[in-house]
Amino acid sequence: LAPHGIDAGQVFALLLLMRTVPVLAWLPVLAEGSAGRDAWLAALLATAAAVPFGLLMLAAVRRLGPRTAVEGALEALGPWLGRAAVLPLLAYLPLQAAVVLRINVEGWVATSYPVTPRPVFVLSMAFLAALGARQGLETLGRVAQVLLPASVVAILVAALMVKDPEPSELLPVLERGLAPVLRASVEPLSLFGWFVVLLQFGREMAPGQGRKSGTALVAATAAAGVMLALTAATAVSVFGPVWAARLRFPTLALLNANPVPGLLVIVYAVWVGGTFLGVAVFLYAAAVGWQGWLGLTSYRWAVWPLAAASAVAALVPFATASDLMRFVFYAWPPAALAVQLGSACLALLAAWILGRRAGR
Amino acid sequence: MSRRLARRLVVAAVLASAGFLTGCWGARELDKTALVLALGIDAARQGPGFRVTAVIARPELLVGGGGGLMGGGGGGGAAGGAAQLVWSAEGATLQEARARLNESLPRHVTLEKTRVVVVGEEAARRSLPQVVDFLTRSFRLPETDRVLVARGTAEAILRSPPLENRTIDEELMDLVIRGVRLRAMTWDGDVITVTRGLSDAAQAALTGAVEPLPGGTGVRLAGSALLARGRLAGWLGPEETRGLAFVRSRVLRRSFSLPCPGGAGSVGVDTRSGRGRVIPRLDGGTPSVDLRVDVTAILSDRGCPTDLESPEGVRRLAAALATAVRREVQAAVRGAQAADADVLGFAGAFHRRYTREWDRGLGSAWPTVFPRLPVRVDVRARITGTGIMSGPPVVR
Repeated sequence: LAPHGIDAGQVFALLLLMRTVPVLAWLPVLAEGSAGRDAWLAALLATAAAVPFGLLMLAAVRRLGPRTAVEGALEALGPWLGRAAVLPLLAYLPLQAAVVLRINVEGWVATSYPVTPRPVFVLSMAFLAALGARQGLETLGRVAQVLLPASVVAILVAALMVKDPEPSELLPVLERGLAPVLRASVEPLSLFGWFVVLLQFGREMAPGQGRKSGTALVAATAAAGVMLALTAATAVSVFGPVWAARLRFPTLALLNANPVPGLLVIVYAVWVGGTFLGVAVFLYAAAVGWQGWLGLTSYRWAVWPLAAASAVAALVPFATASDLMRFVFYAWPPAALAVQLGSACLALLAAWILGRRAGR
Repeated sequence: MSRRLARRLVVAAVLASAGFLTGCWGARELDKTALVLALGIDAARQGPGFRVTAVIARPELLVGGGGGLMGGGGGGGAAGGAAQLVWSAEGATLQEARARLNESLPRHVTLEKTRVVVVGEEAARRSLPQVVDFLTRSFRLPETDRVLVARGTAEAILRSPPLENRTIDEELMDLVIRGVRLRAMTWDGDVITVTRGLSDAAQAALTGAVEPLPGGTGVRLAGSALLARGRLAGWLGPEETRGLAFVRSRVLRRSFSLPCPGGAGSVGVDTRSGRGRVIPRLDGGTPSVDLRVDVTAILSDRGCPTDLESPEGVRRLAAALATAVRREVQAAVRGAQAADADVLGFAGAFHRRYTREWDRGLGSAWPTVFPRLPVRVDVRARITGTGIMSGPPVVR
């Protein structure tokens, strides 16, 4: 562990675990919905596209140094233009927390707690995640390191120890051409774009961890991509492409068909822990951003209002799980991708302007 | 707000949240729960709807104690002193029927420990899509549950007394496992394989069939049930099911009695492996299938003096085995084609090899193509061992 701030290992654990939970809970369905038996290809394609995207993000982080993207933009573009430019990022981060929160709550309700009111889960998790975000990134990084081995084991066991898989279900490859695969890769790519939170980690990164963080980012993206491809391929080979595409939680359905006793308990531990981490990291990144935007003395002041806003956004707009899935499938990925990419470019621009000023 | 007040508020919130951690909404203690071991689904006795029969565990009898778990009632009662209680209820939908089970039982019915689902003949013919939807929509019903189709009603099967076990679900599981492993005379289907088959290119699936013994004294296997395009399409007898097992590479070890090649009497061989390969052909737009089955076996007993150890004798024995296997495979093909249920994997093979043609009409025409599809069966048998003795039986 680095003496101050989070090290590359914690960055790896955080980035991987944040993506492991969607893979575990709901993501494969989105890929399978469009690409059918080629869902695993969509996952690999998204992974390949995500690596340069992530490196672009990391280049911005390195050039900004100890500043966050919001601080860099305000400094480089001035208070008015800077504030306007970072607003999409500041709106995106708590909204992403809300989406993560609600999707996982839907998963809990659909699979195990059908009569528990959704607000109980949403409010409890928002409260816990806010506490975690207030503790800071080092605490979240340590939690991620603890949860990581269990999550990897759970996913591998879920994907590999299934009853009667039929590998021929994965054939023919590219049955309907490349277009559905490309379409299906948008959602995983927007998920991999979650490393946009790195733009807000600046001040918490331990000194000398820059190059290692790049390796951590690539490794976490590759590992998440492989897990997604593996679970998507397994779900298709067990359930067939038609049934798999209709399942809302394919990986959990795989668990239901898994002969290993007690696996679901481990998965739930990872699932709840991973959801907590995902929401907490987005809340942290948002709070740090709003601190700079509002000129607060501590980011902690912004955490509670943001947690409340995320909880409301998770509960109010979606009356049913179908509403949520339509939103997550059609509206959210392109919007999220646009903000992620735009924020990375903005941070690079800010770093370039600041660099020129320093050189002059 | 002072720091001290803030701390107090956080502590109060944490303590308050503990109230939510005492258990999930609707949690039930085990002694208030009726664990369903086997579920039967029939068409309602009158009109549309379903009749659900649940075999409920009586744990105190399973572990050898005494005393009653539940009294008998309008819908059911204990079967033959077994460690189970059988209860039935009807409803317009399966969920309603299940809810009515709850109304008539003092404990809450839970399906999480279900191991066997038996679908009655009439329900399988009339309402298979709804039955499959019920089995797959809820996360609470294990997808690894075995699925059996009853010749007659599922209720009659589940109310039959178990002969060798303490509960009927164990009896059915044993029957299926032994029937598949030892003689390949039924098919081991579960919720996953049935649903996958019915939603796949062929829209057909195979699973085990059971029937009550005469007089309701027990249950027995009855070959396999062919499910196709959302309904029960027909049945395969034990011989046809065995042939299908060769096509689908599901044969592990089973015994064949063959007429002694070139002499009177019979010989016994045990198969060691069987692998089927479907080779789709599309010659001039006309589809056909070459079905290749490779089987290996060893000589287990011989009741004739014919030479079976020489290379020529082994070849003749292999030829006799190939003839027997071919007969079973051809019977399976005839049975599946007669029921228009492509459980042989032909549709998938065409879809994979001739994807473009499949999408351009072969797929949509498959229900009319399959029943008349020319199928050439080529069985190649090898005898890989003749035991630790040579020559004819030592006792004449």
